[in-house]
Amino acid sequence: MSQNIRIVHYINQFFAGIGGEDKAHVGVGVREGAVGPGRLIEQKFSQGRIVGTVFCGDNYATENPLDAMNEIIEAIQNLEPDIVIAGPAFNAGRYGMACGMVCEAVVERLGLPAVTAMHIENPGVELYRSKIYIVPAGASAATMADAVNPMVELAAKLAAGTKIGPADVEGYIPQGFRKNAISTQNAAERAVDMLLQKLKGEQVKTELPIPVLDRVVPPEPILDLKSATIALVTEGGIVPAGNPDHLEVGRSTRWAKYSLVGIVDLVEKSHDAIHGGYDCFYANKDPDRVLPVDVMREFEAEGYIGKLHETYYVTCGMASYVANCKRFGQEIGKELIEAKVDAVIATGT
Amino acid sequence: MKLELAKFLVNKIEFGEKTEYDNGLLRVNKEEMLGLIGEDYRIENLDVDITNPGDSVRIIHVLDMVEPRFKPEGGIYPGFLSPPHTAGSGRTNCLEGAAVVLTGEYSKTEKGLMVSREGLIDMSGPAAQYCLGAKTHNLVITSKAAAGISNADYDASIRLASLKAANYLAETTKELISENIETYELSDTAEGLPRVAYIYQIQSQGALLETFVYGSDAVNLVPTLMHPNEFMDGAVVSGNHSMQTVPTYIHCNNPVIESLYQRHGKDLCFVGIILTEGHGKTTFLKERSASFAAKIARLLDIDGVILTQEGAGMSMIDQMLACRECEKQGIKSVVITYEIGGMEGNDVPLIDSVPEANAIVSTGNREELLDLPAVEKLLGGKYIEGAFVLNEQTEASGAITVNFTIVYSSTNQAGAMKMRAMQY
Amino acid sequence: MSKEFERLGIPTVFITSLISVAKSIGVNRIMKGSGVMHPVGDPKLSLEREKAFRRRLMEAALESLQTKINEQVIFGEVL
Repeated sequence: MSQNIRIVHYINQFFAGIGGEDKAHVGVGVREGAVGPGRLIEQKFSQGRIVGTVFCGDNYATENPLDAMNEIIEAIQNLEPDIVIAGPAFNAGRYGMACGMVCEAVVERLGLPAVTAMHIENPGVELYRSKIYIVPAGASAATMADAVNPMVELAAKLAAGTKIGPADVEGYIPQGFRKNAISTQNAAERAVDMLLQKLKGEQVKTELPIPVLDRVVPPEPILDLKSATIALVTEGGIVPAGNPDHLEVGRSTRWAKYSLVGIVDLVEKSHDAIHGGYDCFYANKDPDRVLPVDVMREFEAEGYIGKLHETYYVTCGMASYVANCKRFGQEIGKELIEAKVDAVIATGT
Repeated sequence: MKLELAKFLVNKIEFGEKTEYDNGLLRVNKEEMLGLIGEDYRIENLDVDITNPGDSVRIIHVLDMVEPRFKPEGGIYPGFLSPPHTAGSGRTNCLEGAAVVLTGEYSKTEKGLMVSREGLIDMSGPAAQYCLGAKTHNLVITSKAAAGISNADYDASIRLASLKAANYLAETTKELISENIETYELSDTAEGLPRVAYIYQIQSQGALLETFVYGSDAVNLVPTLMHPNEFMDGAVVSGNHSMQTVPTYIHCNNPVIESLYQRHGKDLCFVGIILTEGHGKTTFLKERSASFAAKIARLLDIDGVILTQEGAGMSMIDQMLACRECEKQGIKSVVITYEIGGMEGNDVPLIDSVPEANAIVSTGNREELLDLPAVEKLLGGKYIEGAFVLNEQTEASGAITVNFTIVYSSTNQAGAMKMRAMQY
Repeated sequence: MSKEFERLGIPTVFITSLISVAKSIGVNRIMKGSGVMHPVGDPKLSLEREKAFRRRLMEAALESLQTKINEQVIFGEVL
């Protein structure tokens, strides 16, 4: 195998050392050699070296995906890589999506192998798992080494042109298809082994997990808007000024509710946007841009809707755990039912 | 109930002057064989051929496969070749490594369920590692339905022909002594071990899609208790020529029965077989069948069951219902099933499932594609029937791409093969 | 969260810029928001025009809540 596999590494503005959320708008840039996590990748990747690092602000990449990808792909192409590694993106939603987009574009436009790593609940996983190789990573950068090792292993195989086997053998997140293979035992022998394990109370690894298609049947629509009570819920982190309950700005484990009694318009001084996943400048200027209380009060006064529910519910939908989101929905939903709310308008970023 | 299975290993089959078993060589007098099975006005163009593993031979229109078996004191294939008396004891001789492969060409005038069926065996090349019949030394029966004869009548005739041929071949061992005798008995050495039953589903939907229990079709069969040895003497015979159903060869050599016997007295106590009919035509029949199966298991104080199915979606529903009923009674279950995940393998792999089916063994995705090279010799017909070949205009001896669905028994529903699907 | 509200029988519309995520999560009523930083606003507009824009957006959201659907629907972008 060649000792000189040319690797290009893609990272975001944070890992490139440019800055945090305040720099998420920065465009595409290139650095020579390895930067930040790239140093660890290079150290583990014995057969190759990072010839260049391409970075881009998360907002720039996800809000202008066409332009951003054109620029990123051009930068990557100029570095003449054999393989592209992106991330790890952990549970950072926009970073994960950017890594997914970059890898997809590398595979489709440049015909080169690409691999990234992110947390299983990163939205980038659902969007890109079927098209690219994503290695599971922890939720935060503290787990960097755990994510880099399997990513490098898979990358080395891809760069060498080795055929990639099943997901649990190679350690990537399943791409969503199944392929036939020959096992060492026939199905009946495996079934008897499995039954004996089950009878002993041992953990059984089914060969075909029952597909869970969690779809909710849409409820009946509102029949009479004029008498309906509508509630506002947001994942956009709008809280009363000063964030009195210290709501977390991301990876939330809690939700909060606040009164809207007497409030007809949200203004800069009354409410803050605390969401850690986007630049809150515009939302702070006018929180109605995320939680549209002003317009709902107008509708109420005009008799267009029955009434605006006097409590709103808030959390920060950044890198959220799916299980937590589900729980928030159940807990808030229970309160909405008790308050006889007829419908909900939810906003997210 | 004790059965001694005397095995005579076959490592070559050839035509000769006398039909005889000679130290691994099976010689067949063709004229005598044809005379025995050919006296039937419903069959036309009857012929037999032989083929050995490694030959550049492709067999198409495969309907069933039967292992040559013979009982010196009588009683093989009860209900067909002998009275329907309880089978499974005494001595049974078998020609291990040999098989009668039954092919047939139906009349194309009938519709619905009465249309032609397809199955393909390649004796060499890439398909040989997947299909049943590629590793056995085969006597291949070919014929077509006589003019004016219904497909159901023709089917009944060739079934009898294949059973007679199998019995005739194994009869060569009548005076011989085997050095390899295996004894099958549910001894009482297994007391105190987990009690295990096998819920063995067979499909019987109507002619061409039916399975026989002691010679009678199993339509609407109420789940019943059987001894595993009965199957080894041919108590269950396949007339089910669809997709990946279970051939008579596998009913006699059922891999689940074999595996449970091997563990009997060591890891488990093999109690018996609950025979059920798949493809229940109504919810009523489905629920009744699932409840009966679970009830028998409970009466037998069963701790764990293995469930296999035969057929397609309707049978899968029946299997899942039976699994659910058992789990409800606290009986642990393992389900063996094939997958229908589409040609790309990205479709939902099961037609039906229940959350209780948390231990599934896969026999592979039967919709995946397989490229086959050209072969020198084609047996059974000329063109592959149905939608499971991508190049239906090509004569079947040419290079073709087929769906695993017709690669004979490749995703065998009784779990006889080593193929499985893996998640990518 | 929106999915859980609907599971409880409360019709819910989710306004977001990340349509594909909402789709894969399985949200039933989805509406495209105007931007990650301002789902129901547009700072490029004057305050007066922005509010008119928000009204149209919210009217569309309310309309989606009055629409009978059988499966996931992405309600049109508001201009």
